[in-house]
Amino acid sequence: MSLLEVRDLDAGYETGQVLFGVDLDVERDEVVSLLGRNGAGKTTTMRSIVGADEPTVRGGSITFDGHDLLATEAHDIPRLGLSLVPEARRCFGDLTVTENIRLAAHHATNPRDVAAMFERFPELDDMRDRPARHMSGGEQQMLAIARSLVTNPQMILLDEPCEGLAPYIVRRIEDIIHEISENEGVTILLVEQNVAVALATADRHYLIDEGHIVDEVTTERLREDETLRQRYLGV
Amino acid sequence: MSRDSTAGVLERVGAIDLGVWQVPLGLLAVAVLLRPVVSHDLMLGYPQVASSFLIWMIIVASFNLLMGYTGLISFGHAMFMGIGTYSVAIALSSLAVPFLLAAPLGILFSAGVAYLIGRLIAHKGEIYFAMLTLAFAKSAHFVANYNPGGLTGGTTGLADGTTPAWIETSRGFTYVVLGGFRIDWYWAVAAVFVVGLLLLWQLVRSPFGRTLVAVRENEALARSMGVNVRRYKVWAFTFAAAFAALGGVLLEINNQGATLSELSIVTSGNIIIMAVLGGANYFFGPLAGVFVWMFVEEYLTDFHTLVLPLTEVPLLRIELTGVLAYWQFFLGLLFVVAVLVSPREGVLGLAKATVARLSARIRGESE
Repeated sequence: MSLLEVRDLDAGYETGQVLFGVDLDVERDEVVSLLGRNGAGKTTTMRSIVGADEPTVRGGSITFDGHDLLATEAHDIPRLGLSLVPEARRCFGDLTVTENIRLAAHHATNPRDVAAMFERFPELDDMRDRPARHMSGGEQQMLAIARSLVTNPQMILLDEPCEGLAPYIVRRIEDIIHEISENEGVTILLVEQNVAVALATADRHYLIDEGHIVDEVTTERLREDETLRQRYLGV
Repeated sequence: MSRDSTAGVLERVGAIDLGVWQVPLGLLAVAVLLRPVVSHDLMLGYPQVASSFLIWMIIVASFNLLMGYTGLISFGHAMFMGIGTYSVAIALSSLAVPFLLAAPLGILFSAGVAYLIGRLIAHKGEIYFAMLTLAFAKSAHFVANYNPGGLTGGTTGLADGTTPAWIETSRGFTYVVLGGFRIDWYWAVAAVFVVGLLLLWQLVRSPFGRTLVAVRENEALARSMGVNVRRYKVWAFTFAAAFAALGGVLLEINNQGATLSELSIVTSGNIIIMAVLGGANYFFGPLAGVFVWMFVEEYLTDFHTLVLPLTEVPLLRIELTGVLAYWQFFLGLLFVVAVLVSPREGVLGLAKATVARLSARIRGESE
C-alpha cells in the first residue's frame, strides 16, 4: 500500500467545486510532484490532505500510512508523520529562529535534536535569536523546512518552496530536497508550477488541470514531451 | 512607528541588554520605585494609591496574556477579577472562611469558571468570542446585582466584615499585622505583584506561552504544526482568569470589600483600554498603561488650578476644574491617538522608539 493515497477526491469551496475525482499515490521514499498552472487545484489538493478549514471535502478518501486523514483532526495529522511546509514559506515572525524550531519539536511525538538542525542548516545558525520576520525569503524557507524536518516526519508536503526566490537559493533548496529524500529517507510530495524545480527534484509527476489529474508521467517523459508541458503548464 | 523599525533602531544603538534579567529586574524596580515616584510632590503627592496601581497592573497584565499573546479579545475580563473579589468578600462576611483559604479558593473558582466558559466559546471566531464574553460578564453582573440569598449585597456590594482581623488601617494607610510584625500593605502587595508577574512571565516564555504567540500569529500554521489550537486558547483563558482573580483578591482588601463596579462592563472596557494604551506588544505594556491611566485619573481629579510659575509668587492662575472634569475624555483622546499611531505599540512602544531615536542622534548616527 502506498504511503499516501488520495482516491476520487471531490473538494471545493462555497463558490464551487474545484477538485473532481483526484487520484494520487505516493510510495515510500519517493519524490513526487503535483504540477499545474495557477488555479488548477494544487493548493486545494494540499489543503484537503492536511485538513485545513477550507476547502470542504465532498467525496473520496485520503489515507496516510493506513490512517484515514478525513477522520483525523488537523492538529493530529502532523503526529502521524505527515508534515507541511506551507506556501509563501510561512514562519512565526514574532518568534525567533530557535523558538520556531523548538516549538515544532515540542509539538512532535518523536522529534529530532534541535541543535542538529543548526548543523544541517548553517545559514540559520548565525541568526538563532533573530525574529523570523527579519529574515530573507530564502532564509525563511530554510527555517520552514527545518521546522518541518525537526518533527522527524515520514513525509513532507512542500508547497511551492521555490516561488519568488533567487536562482542560487532555488538551487540550494533543490539540493536540500535531494538530501532529505536520499540521506534521510523522507518521502516528499512537491506542489509546483515551476517545471524546472520539479524536473530537478522529483521522480514522478502528476499533472493537474481544472481539478482533474490529466496525466502521470516520469521525469524523462516530462522533459522530452514539449507538447505535454505546453498544454498543461504553458511552458 | 512600527515594531520592526523600533527593534531595528534598538539593535543599531546597542541598547543595554540585560538579557534574561531584564524582566525580573524591571518588575523589582517597578515595585520598589512606584510608591516614592507617585508620592513625590511633582507627581501625586500622596502614596495611598500606589498599592492600587500595582494591583491593577496584575489585572491588566493578566488580560494581556489573552490579547497580547494569544490574540483573544475578551470584553468580560473584569468578571474574573470580580469573582476573586466577591469570593473573598463573601467568604469573610458570610461564611467565616479565613482569607488565606478564601483567596486561593477564589482564584481556583475563577479559573474553573473561565475553563468552562472557555470550553464553550474559545473556538468561536474573534467577534463572536468577544460578544460571548460580554454576555457572560453581563450575566455575572446581573447575578451580583440581584443579590441571591443576600450573599452579594446587591447594588451596595459588600463592606461589613470583609476585612480580615490582621488588616489594620490608620490615617489612610493599611497595614498587615502578622505574628507581631507590622508590614505596610503596599509591600505585601508589592511582594505578590513581583511573584505573580514573574509567574506570568515564566508562563509567557515557556513552550506554552510561545505556542500562544504562534496561535495568535497564524492559527492554521500552528494547527499544521500539531497544535490543538482550541485547547491552548481554553488554557490561556483559564490562566488569564486566575491571574485576574489574584488581582481581584488583593483588591478586596485594598478597597475593604466588594462593589458592583468590580463586575461591570465599564471595568472590562477600562482593562482593554489600559492594555492597548500601554502597548499590548510588550510584557511591560499593560503596566505602563495602568500607570498612565491611573496617574492621569488621580492627578486630574485632584487638580483644579494651574499656577504659573510654580513658585510663591504666582503670576498666572488658570481655573481648570471645568475642563478637567472631562479627564476621561482626554484619556480617550490619548487612547485614540495611541491606537491610530500604532495599535499594538501603545505609549511604551512610543517611548522606546523615542529613546532609541534620541540615543541614535546623540551618538551621531543618521537614521
